[in-house]
Amino acid sequence: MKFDERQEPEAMVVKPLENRLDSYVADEFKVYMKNIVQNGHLKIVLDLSDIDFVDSSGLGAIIATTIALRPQGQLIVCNARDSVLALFRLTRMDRVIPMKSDVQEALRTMSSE
Amino acid sequence: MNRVSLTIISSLENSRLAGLCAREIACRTFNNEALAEIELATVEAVNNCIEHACSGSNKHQITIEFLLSEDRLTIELIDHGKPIEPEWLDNLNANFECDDADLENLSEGGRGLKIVKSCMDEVSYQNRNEYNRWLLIKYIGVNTN
Repeated sequence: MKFDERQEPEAMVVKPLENRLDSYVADEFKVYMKNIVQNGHLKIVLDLSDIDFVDSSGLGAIIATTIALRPQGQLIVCNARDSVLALFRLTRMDRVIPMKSDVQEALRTMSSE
Repeated sequence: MNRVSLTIISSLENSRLAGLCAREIACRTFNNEALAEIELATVEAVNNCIEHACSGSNKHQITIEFLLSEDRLTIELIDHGKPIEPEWLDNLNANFECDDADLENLSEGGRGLKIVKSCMDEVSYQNRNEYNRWLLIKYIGVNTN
């Protein structure tokens, strides 16, 4: 699984360069995100613009990152496509994980908190 | 009537194949929202077979049959792994619960079967002596949400 990451003043922006975040890659995603957290990046914007499919394992890996960041840090998801957004809503995870429409909005939210 | 049968090795990589196959078979009959639900439900059902019935081993085979008829898409999954535990079946009808004040106790997993149930109109499971059989049905033109 490939990623693009860049450090912005407000947060680390991580973008998976894949179109699926599913059971096949969920563990790899989780390890990658855990390393970022362990390296001291406690504010992370997850840009899902390339992802068109997430299953419950992929969602679980995102939840694991959110939990790893607590209590000091925060994860904000942005650029989720309709099908991905639908999964977050169905499972009610949109109530737990902040979701923004794009990276700039996510960074603004991060800087205001 | 369209009938397609797919036999896969119980590897998580192949869940994708099953999901994409379901989407392709249904693409001329269902709208985009329903197609996303069908693909997701298929992937979750296959994942469940691999992770639980086959205990994560890639030495099993799973047969998936897609049947598109006049009023419905029927997806049948058959594996020869161990039967599902009864408490897992309770998951089918459970609600998605979350408490944003209690993040530390939020579970990473356990949503797969609930997602299958939410995305399809009918879901049933049978354990026969030799195999497990899941039946997933999505009716054409019915909004489940």
